[in-house]
Amino acid sequence: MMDRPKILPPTLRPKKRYIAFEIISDDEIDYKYVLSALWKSMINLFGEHGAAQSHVWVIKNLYGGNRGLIRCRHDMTEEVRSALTFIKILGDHKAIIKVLGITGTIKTAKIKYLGMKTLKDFTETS
Amino acid sequence: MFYDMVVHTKSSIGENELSEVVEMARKLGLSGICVPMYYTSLKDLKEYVNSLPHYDDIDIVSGVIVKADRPQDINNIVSMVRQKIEIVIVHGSSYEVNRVACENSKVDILAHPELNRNDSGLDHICVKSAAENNVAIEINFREILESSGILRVKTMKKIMKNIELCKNYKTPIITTSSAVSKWNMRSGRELASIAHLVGLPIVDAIDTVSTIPLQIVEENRKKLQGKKIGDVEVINDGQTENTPSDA
Repeated sequence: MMDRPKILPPTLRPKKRYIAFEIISDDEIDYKYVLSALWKSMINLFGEHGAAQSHVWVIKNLYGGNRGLIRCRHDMTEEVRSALTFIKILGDHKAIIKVLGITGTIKTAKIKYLGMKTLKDFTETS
Repeated sequence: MFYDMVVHTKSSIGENELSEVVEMARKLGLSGICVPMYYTSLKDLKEYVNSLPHYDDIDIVSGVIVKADRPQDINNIVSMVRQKIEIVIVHGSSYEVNRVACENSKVDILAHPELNRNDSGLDHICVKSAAENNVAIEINFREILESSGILRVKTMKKIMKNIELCKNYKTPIITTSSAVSKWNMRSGRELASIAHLVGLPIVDAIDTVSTIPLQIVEENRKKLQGKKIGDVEVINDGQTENTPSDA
Protein backbone atom coordinates (compact mmCIF):
# COMPACT_ATOMS: atom_id res chain seq x y z
CA MET A 1 0.00 0.00 0.00
CA MET A 2 1.17 3.46 -0.83
CA ASP A 3 1.47 5.78 2.12
CA ARG A 4 -0.57 8.52 0.60
CA PRO A 5 -4.24 9.12 -0.20
CA LYS A 6 -5.59 8.35 -3.64
CA ILE A 7 -6.03 11.20 -6.10
CA LEU A 8 -9.48 12.68 -5.82
CA PRO A 9 -12.01 12.18 -8.62
CA PRO A 10 -12.31 15.29 -10.84
CA THR A 11 -15.66 16.35 -9.41
CA LEU A 12 -14.25 16.54 -5.88
CA ARG A 13 -11.07 18.40 -6.74
CA PRO A 14 -10.98 22.10 -5.85
CA LYS A 15 -11.46 24.39 -8.84
CA LYS A 16 -8.39 26.33 -9.82
CA ARG A 17 -7.39 29.33 -11.88
CA TYR A 18 -3.94 30.21 -13.18
CA ILE A 19 -2.77 33.82 -13.06
CA ALA A 20 -0.05 34.60 -15.60
CA PHE A 21 2.20 37.41 -14.44
CA GLU A 22 5.19 39.39 -15.57
CA ILE A 23 7.70 41.14 -13.32
CA ILE A 24 8.83 44.58 -14.42
CA SER A 25 12.26 45.12 -12.89
CA ASP A 26 15.84 46.03 -13.77
CA ASP A 27 17.14 42.52 -13.18
CA GLU A 28 15.96 38.92 -13.25
CA ILE A 29 14.29 37.93 -9.97
CA ASP A 30 14.81 34.58 -8.26
CA TYR A 31 11.82 32.26 -7.74
CA LYS A 32 12.10 32.17 -3.94
CA TYR A 33 11.72 35.93 -3.63
CA VAL A 34 8.52 35.89 -5.66
CA LEU A 35 6.99 33.14 -3.54
CA SER A 36 7.89 34.73 -0.21
CA ALA A 37 6.73 38.18 -1.31
CA LEU A 38 3.41 36.74 -2.47
CA TRP A 39 2.81 34.93 0.82
CA LYS A 40 3.82 37.96 2.85
CA SER A 41 1.53 40.23 0.89
CA MET A 42 -1.41 37.80 1.11
CA ILE A 43 -1.01 37.37 4.87
CA ASN A 44 -0.61 41.14 5.37
CA LEU A 45 -3.72 41.97 3.40
CA PHE A 46 -6.14 39.14 4.18
CA GLY A 47 -4.74 37.62 7.34
CA GLU A 48 -3.82 34.00 7.94
CA HIS A 49 -7.40 32.85 7.43
CA GLY A 50 -7.79 34.53 4.05
CA ALA A 51 -4.37 33.42 2.86
CA ALA A 52 -5.12 29.81 3.80
CA GLN A 53 -8.40 29.88 1.88
CA SER A 54 -6.81 31.14 -1.31
CA HIS A 55 -4.67 27.98 -2.01
CA VAL A 56 -2.13 30.25 -3.61
CA TRP A 57 1.15 28.94 -5.06
CA VAL A 58 3.74 29.94 -7.66
CA ILE A 59 4.45 27.08 -10.08
CA LYS A 60 8.19 26.51 -9.97
CA ASN A 61 9.11 24.76 -13.20
CA LEU A 62 7.21 27.28 -15.32
CA TYR A 63 8.89 30.32 -13.76
CA GLY A 64 11.62 31.92 -15.82
CA GLY A 65 12.58 35.12 -17.52
CA ASN A 66 10.51 37.15 -15.05
CA ARG A 67 7.32 35.44 -16.17
CA GLY A 68 5.35 32.76 -14.43
CA LEU A 69 2.07 31.28 -13.26
CA ILE A 70 0.31 31.50 -9.93
CA ARG A 71 -2.24 28.87 -9.05
CA CYS A 72 -5.16 29.89 -6.80
CA ARG A 73 -8.73 29.00 -5.96
CA HIS A 74 -11.17 29.90 -8.72
CA ASP A 75 -13.13 32.50 -6.73
CA MET A 76 -10.13 34.22 -5.14
CA THR A 77 -8.43 35.59 -8.26
CA GLU A 78 -9.35 39.18 -7.53
CA GLU A 79 -7.92 38.93 -4.01
CA VAL A 80 -4.64 37.49 -5.29
CA ARG A 81 -4.46 40.21 -7.91
CA SER A 82 -4.83 42.94 -5.30
CA ALA A 83 -2.23 41.23 -3.09
CA LEU A 84 0.18 41.29 -6.05
CA THR A 85 -0.46 45.01 -6.43
CA PHE A 86 0.97 45.69 -2.98
CA ILE A 87 4.36 44.12 -3.76
CA LYS A 88 7.03 46.83 -4.00
CA ILE A 89 10.34 45.03 -3.59
CA LEU A 90 11.45 41.56 -4.70
CA GLY A 91 14.83 40.51 -3.28
CA ASP A 92 16.95 43.65 -3.49
CA HIS A 93 15.24 45.12 -6.52
CA LYS A 94 12.33 47.45 -6.91
CA ALA A 95 9.69 45.65 -8.92
CA ILE A 96 6.15 45.79 -10.23
CA ILE A 97 4.12 42.65 -10.83
CA LYS A 98 1.82 42.99 -13.81
CA VAL A 99 -0.93 40.45 -14.37
CA LEU A 100 -1.05 39.29 -17.99
CA GLY A 101 -4.24 37.29 -17.73
CA ILE A 102 -6.16 34.53 -15.99
CA THR A 103 -6.78 31.09 -17.45
CA GLY A 104 -8.46 27.87 -16.41
CA THR A 105 -5.70 25.49 -17.50
CA ILE A 106 -1.93 25.52 -17.60
CA LYS A 107 -1.99 24.63 -21.29
CA THR A 108 -3.87 27.78 -22.34
CA ALA A 109 -1.67 29.91 -20.08
CA LYS A 110 1.42 28.49 -21.77
CA ILE A 111 0.08 29.19 -25.24
CA LYS A 112 -1.38 32.61 -24.53
CA TYR A 113 1.05 34.18 -22.07
CA LEU A 114 4.28 32.20 -21.80
CA GLY A 115 4.97 32.17 -25.52
CA MET A 116 4.85 28.41 -26.14
CA LYS A 117 3.48 27.94 -29.60
CA THR A 118 5.07 24.85 -31.13
CA LEU A 119 5.14 21.22 -30.02
CA LYS A 120 8.87 21.55 -29.36
CA ASP A 121 8.29 24.23 -26.71
CA PHE A 122 6.01 21.91 -24.80
CA THR A 123 8.19 18.82 -24.92
CA GLU A 124 11.25 20.72 -23.72
CA THR A 125 9.67 22.06 -20.54
CA SER A 126 7.42 19.24 -19.41
CA MET B 1 -8.25 51.90 -22.43
CA PHE B 2 -6.86 52.60 -18.99
CA TYR B 3 -6.13 56.06 -17.64
CA ASP B 4 -4.11 56.98 -14.56
CA MET B 5 -5.23 60.46 -13.60
CA VAL B 6 -2.46 61.44 -11.17
CA VAL B 7 1.17 60.52 -11.80
CA HIS B 8 3.69 62.91 -10.25
CA THR B 9 6.74 63.87 -12.27
CA LYS B 10 9.45 66.43 -11.63
CA SER B 11 6.94 69.17 -12.47
CA SER B 12 5.27 68.45 -9.11
CA ILE B 13 6.65 66.26 -6.31
CA GLY B 14 7.80 63.23 -8.30
CA GLU B 15 11.29 61.74 -8.60
CA ASN B 16 11.29 60.84 -12.28
CA GLU B 17 11.27 62.75 -15.54
CA LEU B 18 8.23 62.60 -17.78
CA SER B 19 10.02 60.39 -20.33
CA GLU B 20 10.77 57.71 -17.69
CA VAL B 21 7.17 57.77 -16.50
CA VAL B 22 5.89 57.46 -20.06
CA GLU B 23 8.18 54.49 -20.66
CA MET B 24 6.83 52.77 -17.57
CA ALA B 25 3.25 53.56 -18.60
CA ARG B 26 3.97 51.86 -21.92
CA LYS B 27 5.20 48.73 -20.14
CA LEU B 28 2.12 48.72 -17.92
CA GLY B 29 -0.26 49.09 -20.84
CA LEU B 30 -1.78 52.43 -19.84
CA SER B 31 -3.27 54.46 -22.68
CA GLY B 32 -3.12 57.84 -20.95
CA ILE B 33 -1.68 59.56 -17.92
CA CYS B 34 -2.25 62.92 -16.31
CA VAL B 35 0.93 64.58 -15.03
CA PRO B 36 -0.31 67.46 -12.88
CA MET B 37 1.60 70.38 -11.39
CA TYR B 38 0.91 72.22 -8.16
CA TYR B 39 -0.54 75.65 -8.80
CA THR B 40 1.91 78.49 -8.15
CA SER B 41 1.17 81.21 -10.69
CA LEU B 42 -0.52 81.63 -14.07
CA LYS B 43 2.85 82.17 -15.75
CA ASP B 44 4.19 78.84 -14.50
CA LEU B 45 0.97 77.19 -15.60
CA LYS B 46 1.38 78.52 -19.14
CA GLU B 47 5.00 77.32 -19.30
CA TYR B 48 3.98 73.90 -18.03
CA VAL B 49 1.18 73.49 -20.60
CA ASN B 50 3.53 74.50 -23.43
CA SER B 51 6.28 72.17 -22.22
CA LEU B 52 4.14 69.01 -22.39
CA PRO B 53 5.28 66.80 -25.29
CA HIS B 54 3.01 64.80 -27.55
CA TYR B 55 3.28 61.02 -27.88
CA ASP B 56 1.46 58.88 -30.39
CA ASP B 57 0.72 55.91 -28.17
CA ILE B 58 0.24 57.59 -24.78
CA ASP B 59 -2.17 60.42 -24.16
CA ILE B 60 -0.57 63.06 -21.91
CA VAL B 61 -3.23 65.05 -20.08
CA SER B 62 -2.40 68.40 -18.52
CA GLY B 63 -3.66 69.02 -15.02
CA VAL B 64 -3.26 71.29 -12.05
CA ILE B 65 -3.53 70.51 -8.34
CA VAL B 66 -4.97 73.41 -6.38
CA LYS B 67 -3.77 73.45 -2.80
CA ALA B 68 -4.93 76.18 -0.44
CA ASP B 69 -5.86 76.41 3.21
CA ARG B 70 -8.70 78.88 2.85
CA PRO B 71 -11.84 77.74 0.99
CA GLN B 72 -12.33 81.08 -0.82
CA ASP B 73 -8.83 80.78 -2.33
CA ILE B 74 -9.86 77.46 -3.87
CA ASN B 75 -12.77 79.08 -5.69
CA ASN B 76 -10.64 82.00 -6.90
CA ILE B 77 -7.80 79.86 -8.22
CA VAL B 78 -10.12 77.32 -9.83
CA SER B 79 -12.02 79.97 -11.79
CA MET B 80 -8.69 81.47 -12.91
CA VAL B 81 -7.19 78.21 -14.22
CA ARG B 82 -10.33 76.56 -15.59
CA GLN B 83 -10.04 78.00 -19.12
CA LYS B 84 -6.36 77.12 -19.43
CA ILE B 85 -6.04 73.50 -18.43
CA GLU B 86 -7.72 70.14 -18.99
CA ILE B 87 -8.02 68.72 -15.49
CA VAL B 88 -8.51 70.66 -12.25
CA ILE B 89 -7.76 68.68 -9.09
CA VAL B 90 -8.33 70.02 -5.59
CA HIS B 91 -5.95 68.90 -2.85
CA GLY B 92 -8.46 67.88 -0.17
CA SER B 93 -7.94 67.36 3.52
CA SER B 94 -9.83 69.90 5.65
CA TYR B 95 -13.61 69.56 5.68
CA GLU B 96 -14.21 73.12 4.49
CA VAL B 97 -11.95 72.67 1.46
CA ASN B 98 -13.58 69.33 0.64
CA ARG B 99 -17.02 70.86 0.78
CA VAL B 100 -16.14 73.88 -1.34
CA ALA B 101 -14.55 71.59 -3.93
CA CYS B 102 -17.64 69.39 -4.04
CA GLU B 103 -19.90 72.40 -4.55
CA ASN B 104 -17.86 73.85 -7.41
CA SER B 105 -18.80 72.47 -10.82
CA LYS B 106 -15.51 73.75 -12.29
CA VAL B 107 -13.58 71.18 -10.25
CA ASP B 108 -13.02 67.78 -11.88
CA ILE B 109 -11.45 65.69 -9.12
CA LEU B 110 -11.32 65.99 -5.35
CA ALA B 111 -8.13 64.22 -4.32
CA HIS B 112 -7.73 62.29 -1.06
CA PRO B 113 -10.48 63.92 1.09
CA GLU B 114 -9.37 61.72 4.01
CA LEU B 115 -5.70 62.75 4.10
CA ASN B 116 -4.27 63.38 7.61
CA ARG B 117 -7.69 63.13 9.22
CA ASN B 118 -9.26 60.98 11.86
CA ASP B 119 -12.58 60.87 10.03
CA SER B 120 -13.38 60.30 6.37
CA GLY B 121 -13.58 64.02 5.50
CA LEU B 122 -16.84 63.75 3.56
CA ASP B 123 -20.47 63.66 4.63
CA HIS B 124 -23.74 63.12 2.79
CA ILE B 125 -24.03 66.85 1.94
CA CYS B 126 -20.63 66.93 0.21
CA VAL B 127 -21.18 63.70 -1.67
CA LYS B 128 -24.64 64.73 -2.85
CA SER B 129 -23.41 68.06 -4.22
CA ALA B 130 -20.39 66.31 -5.77
CA ALA B 131 -22.82 64.10 -7.69
CA GLU B 132 -24.79 67.15 -8.84
CA ASN B 133 -21.67 69.06 -9.90
CA ASN B 134 -19.94 66.05 -11.46
CA VAL B 135 -16.92 66.18 -9.15
CA ALA B 136 -15.17 62.83 -8.97
CA ILE B 137 -13.86 61.55 -5.63
CA GLU B 138 -10.40 60.03 -5.76
CA ILE B 139 -9.21 56.71 -4.37
CA ASN B 140 -5.52 57.33 -3.72
CA PHE B 141 -3.50 54.11 -4.11
CA ARG B 142 -0.24 55.61 -2.80
CA GLU B 143 -1.85 56.32 0.55
CA ILE B 144 -2.69 52.62 0.97
CA LEU B 145 0.58 51.36 -0.50
CA GLU B 146 2.94 53.47 1.58
CA SER B 147 1.22 52.94 4.91
CA SER B 148 1.43 49.69 6.82
CA GLY B 149 -0.13 47.99 9.81
CA ILE B 150 -2.71 49.98 11.75
CA LEU B 151 -2.23 53.06 9.54
CA ARG B 152 -3.16 51.08 6.42
CA VAL B 153 -6.20 49.72 8.22
CA LYS B 154 -7.32 53.24 9.15
CA THR B 155 -6.75 54.61 5.64
CA MET B 156 -8.71 51.79 4.04
CA LYS B 157 -11.50 52.22 6.55
CA LYS B 158 -11.85 55.90 5.70
CA ILE B 159 -11.80 55.25 1.95
CA MET B 160 -14.39 52.48 2.35
CA LYS B 161 -16.70 54.87 4.17
CA ASN B 162 -16.39 57.47 1.39
CA ILE B 163 -17.11 54.86 -1.26
CA GLU B 164 -20.20 53.65 0.53
CA LEU B 165 -21.53 57.23 0.52
CA CYS B 166 -20.57 57.71 -3.14
CA LYS B 167 -22.41 54.53 -4.10
CA ASN B 168 -25.57 55.85 -2.42
CA TYR B 169 -25.58 59.14 -4.33
CA LYS B 170 -24.03 57.79 -7.56
CA THR B 171 -21.04 60.13 -7.30
CA PRO B 172 -18.28 59.40 -9.83
CA ILE B 173 -15.19 57.75 -8.36
CA ILE B 174 -11.69 57.71 -9.83
CA THR B 175 -8.80 55.44 -8.86
CA THR B 176 -5.32 56.89 -9.25
CA SER B 177 -1.89 55.56 -8.45
CA SER B 178 -0.74 59.06 -7.45
CA ALA B 179 2.78 57.75 -7.87
CA VAL B 180 5.77 59.84 -6.80
CA SER B 181 8.20 57.33 -8.30
CA LYS B 182 7.79 55.25 -11.45
CA TRP B 183 7.97 52.13 -9.30
CA ASN B 184 4.73 53.14 -7.57
CA MET B 185 2.78 53.04 -10.80
CA ARG B 186 0.44 50.13 -11.47
CA SER B 187 -1.45 48.94 -14.52
CA GLY B 188 -5.09 49.92 -14.94
CA ARG B 189 -6.60 46.57 -14.11
CA GLU B 190 -4.52 46.35 -10.92
CA LEU B 191 -5.79 49.76 -9.79
CA ALA B 192 -9.30 48.51 -10.46
CA SER B 193 -8.68 45.54 -8.18
CA ILE B 194 -7.81 48.01 -5.41
CA ALA B 195 -11.12 49.80 -5.99
CA HIS B 196 -12.81 46.39 -5.78
CA LEU B 197 -10.93 45.69 -2.55
CA VAL B 198 -12.33 48.80 -0.89
CA GLY B 199 -15.90 48.03 -1.74
CA LEU B 200 -16.88 48.67 -5.36
CA PRO B 201 -18.38 45.94 -7.56
CA ILE B 202 -15.87 44.82 -10.17
CA VAL B 203 -17.65 46.43 -13.15
CA ASP B 204 -17.79 49.83 -11.44
CA ALA B 205 -14.20 49.38 -10.27
CA ILE B 206 -13.01 48.99 -13.86
CA ASP B 207 -15.03 52.08 -14.82
CA THR B 208 -13.10 54.16 -12.27
CA VAL B 209 -9.90 53.76 -14.32
CA SER B 210 -11.36 53.71 -17.83
CA THR B 211 -14.73 55.24 -18.70
CA ILE B 212 -15.02 57.95 -16.04
CA PRO B 213 -11.57 59.54 -16.53
CA LEU B 214 -11.91 59.29 -20.32
CA GLN B 215 -15.28 61.01 -20.16
CA ILE B 216 -13.89 63.87 -18.04
CA VAL B 217 -10.92 64.37 -20.36
CA GLU B 218 -12.99 64.31 -23.54
CA GLU B 219 -15.59 66.68 -22.16
CA ASN B 220 -13.00 69.18 -20.96
CA ARG B 221 -11.15 69.06 -24.27
CA LYS B 222 -14.37 69.87 -26.09
CA LYS B 223 -14.98 72.77 -23.72
CA LEU B 224 -11.45 74.13 -24.21
CA GLN B 225 -11.84 73.99 -27.99
CA GLY B 226 -15.15 75.83 -27.74
CA LYS B 227 -17.18 72.88 -28.98
CA LYS B 228 -19.12 72.65 -25.76
CA ILE B 229 -20.51 75.50 -23.68
CA GLY B 230 -21.95 74.48 -20.36
CA ASP B 231 -24.00 71.40 -21.09
CA VAL B 232 -24.73 72.37 -24.69
CA GLU B 233 -22.68 70.89 -27.48
CA VAL B 234 -21.94 73.00 -30.57
CA ILE B 235 -22.52 70.86 -33.64
CA ASN B 236 -22.48 73.63 -36.23
CA ASP B 237 -21.32 77.16 -35.47
CA GLY B 238 -23.06 78.69 -38.54
CA GLN B 239 -19.86 79.83 -40.26
CA THR B 240 -18.80 76.52 -41.73
CA GLU B 241 -21.07 75.07 -44.38
CA ASN B 242 -23.53 72.48 -43.17
CA THR B 243 -22.37 69.26 -44.75
CA PRO B 244 -24.75 66.31 -44.67
CA SER B 245 -23.41 63.86 -42.13
CA ASP B 246 -23.79 60.11 -42.18
CA ALA B 247 -27.54 60.15 -42.66
